[in-house]
Amino acid sequence: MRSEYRENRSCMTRNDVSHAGHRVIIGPLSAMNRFAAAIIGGYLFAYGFTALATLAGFRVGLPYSEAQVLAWMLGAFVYLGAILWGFVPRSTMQAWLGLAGGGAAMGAAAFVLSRWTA
Amino acid sequence: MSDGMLHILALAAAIAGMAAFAFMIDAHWRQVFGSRKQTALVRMVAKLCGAGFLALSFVLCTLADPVTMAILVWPMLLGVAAAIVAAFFTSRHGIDRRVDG
Amino acid sequence: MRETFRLSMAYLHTWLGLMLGFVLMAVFFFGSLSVFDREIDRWSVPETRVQAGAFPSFDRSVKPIIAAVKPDPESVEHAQAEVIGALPPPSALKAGDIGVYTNHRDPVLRMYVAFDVPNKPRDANLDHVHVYGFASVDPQTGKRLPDNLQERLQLGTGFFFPLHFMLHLEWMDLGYWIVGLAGMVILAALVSGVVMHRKIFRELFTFRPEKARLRSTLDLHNMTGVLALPFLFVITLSGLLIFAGLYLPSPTTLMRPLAKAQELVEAAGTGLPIEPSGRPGQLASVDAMMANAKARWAAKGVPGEIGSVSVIHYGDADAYVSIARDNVDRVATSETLHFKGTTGALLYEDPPASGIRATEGFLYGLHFQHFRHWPLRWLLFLGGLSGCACIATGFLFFVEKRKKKHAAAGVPGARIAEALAVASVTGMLLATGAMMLTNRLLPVNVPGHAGWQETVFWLTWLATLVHAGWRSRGTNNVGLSPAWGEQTSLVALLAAGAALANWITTGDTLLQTVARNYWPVAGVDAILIVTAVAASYVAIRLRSRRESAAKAAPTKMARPAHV
Repeated sequence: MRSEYRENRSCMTRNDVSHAGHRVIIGPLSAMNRFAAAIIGGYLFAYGFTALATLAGFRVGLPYSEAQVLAWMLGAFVYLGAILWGFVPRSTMQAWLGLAGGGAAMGAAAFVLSRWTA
Repeated sequence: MSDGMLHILALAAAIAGMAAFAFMIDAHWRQVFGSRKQTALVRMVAKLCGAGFLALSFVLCTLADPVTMAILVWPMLLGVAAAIVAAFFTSRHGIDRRVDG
Repeated sequence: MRETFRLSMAYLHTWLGLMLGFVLMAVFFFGSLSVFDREIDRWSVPETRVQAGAFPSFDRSVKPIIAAVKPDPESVEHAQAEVIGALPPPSALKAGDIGVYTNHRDPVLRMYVAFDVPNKPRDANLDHVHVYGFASVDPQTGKRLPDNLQERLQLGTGFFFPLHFMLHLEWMDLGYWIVGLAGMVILAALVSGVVMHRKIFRELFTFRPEKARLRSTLDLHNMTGVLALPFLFVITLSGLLIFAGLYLPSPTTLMRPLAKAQELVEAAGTGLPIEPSGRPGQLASVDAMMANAKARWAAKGVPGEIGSVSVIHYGDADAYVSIARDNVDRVATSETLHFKGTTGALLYEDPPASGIRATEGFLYGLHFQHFRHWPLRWLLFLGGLSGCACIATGFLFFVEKRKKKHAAAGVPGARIAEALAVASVTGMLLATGAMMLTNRLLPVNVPGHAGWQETVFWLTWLATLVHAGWRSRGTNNVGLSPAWGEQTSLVALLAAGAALANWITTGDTLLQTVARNYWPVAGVDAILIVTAVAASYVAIRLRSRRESAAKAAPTKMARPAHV
């Protein structure tokens, strides 16, 4: 996030964290972008994860509906982790790619593998 | 012993446990025991007593209710117990001279 | 790296908390009220203030009434919107499924009839659409209660409870999605809140009210957050799981062929017919099936009462009766036995729960709270209110920290946040109080009785926002907005008024309801009175603080105000 600090006259987005003595300043648009990456990207990640995890559970031998329930229970934690991770990468584009991209990959894998009766 | 009595005892044990844990913190020790030194031994005893009382609280909860309910009741009682202990220390804080944590 | 992560978490916590905190206040407050939703129903519909009794005879009390249940007009409207083509006239609809339940918190026997609809649903995911009809039976006399009782708004189950999980925003399920997002935000706020702190254990007991108000507000925010953390985390997780099928339908949307195939496989495994045969059939004695069920539970070492009875494919040769145990002594959901409708023979018994199903049942059960355990119920209620306290103190901290700076820079941000916070906290209480007062005072025969109560609720809430916004005007407003104190005083008035109105309109005072052990109504009145007392105390403290602040710094007010 350091690469996105900008001078900003508005006090509204100034995050004053006095413990560490740093002043962290970030503009409103890039802040919204970061939150969107974390929340929307995170949702897409959880979406793809849930499908793939259901398929994995089913293939391992669980009844389909139970595999789905397990995937949902894990999915909440996965979404939570994704939101928090979304604030870690230096650039927001990395966050978008990691989360939305990861979700799309898992979703596509679930789509293909569930229809693949080899 | 009735369920209500068991719950009250479980809460009392939880309060005792939380108070014991609170005494591990230097500031709270000084609030109640003043100048007596808080040594490493005292801290360990406090930790053991704390854990012991909380475990006792859990056992009392399982005596009152089936286990699946006890594991809901117990954490909630812990929260109430911690709030009561915190309220106690807050009230003493006002009476004694300021102890900065 | 660790420092940076902690700073990021602080940033996330502040802004997610601010953006969704308003929604979360409502979700947690009305969720807390929903713990006692059925008790609030008793309070709001006095005709149902009856003592709970045993499950009545199905054959004698329920079956004769089924033919007389008519489709509910609102349900017909809903169904019409969901199907292709015009629905047959309501009188031509045939009863498909029947459901009946009563328990220690629902003393009136409630019945629903699901009428079969021949039209094809618009949504390809749905197999069927149903139209519903409802009836209530007094279990003591076996007589059907008047139909206009159905139209009465049950404040608890009919208003506060759905408000809690979908904000009464039905358009495109938007309310469900907002609440779901708020739920995820709570989890993120809890975790980031913990990561932000370096001495989390110490914060457990730290509350320093004598320190500067900003510090003590933060202390209270931390303390309520930490004390209620296990509760807040688990209750939120379980809530999200309940609607997971709506939020994350990817197993069905991305893997449809597999999902549909497995649905059929699993249904076939139970031996219960999914579709009716089309041949008519006579329903055997359901009372005998109920007795059979109770005997089986006793034999398994879990003796119990009947919780609910459902007849699926009513009137058909393939009808079956599902009987569920009333789980007053457990957290998880109940065991259901399924009997063949025409003979009463046992068709299928739900198997012992697997690890996953047991976990799911436990999480559902701790959220829906069907058990009989009043101490636990009150503890969960307090937990929910702690969540509200955590959010409210979070708002106060955010606002107070920035007010001076924003006022100096001429930026309205902190004052806007404060106005929203006032509406969210005291405003919400006022809307609730006004609605309860209206419920008692508005005569029952006024047309649109239910609608008027809801209108009062929403208009009052809007009015509190307008009031809070108006009182926050003026940049030299660096103390607490006067709206807090004004609305708090009004909360005290309305809460006391509602309890008083209950006495005047029904004759039930707190003393009387306690004397005859009618706890549902006693509990609601007690909470109203406690709220009135607490709000009075807070209002008086706020007023004295304002007066001493005004005396201490009269010259600061000299700066001309500009909005």
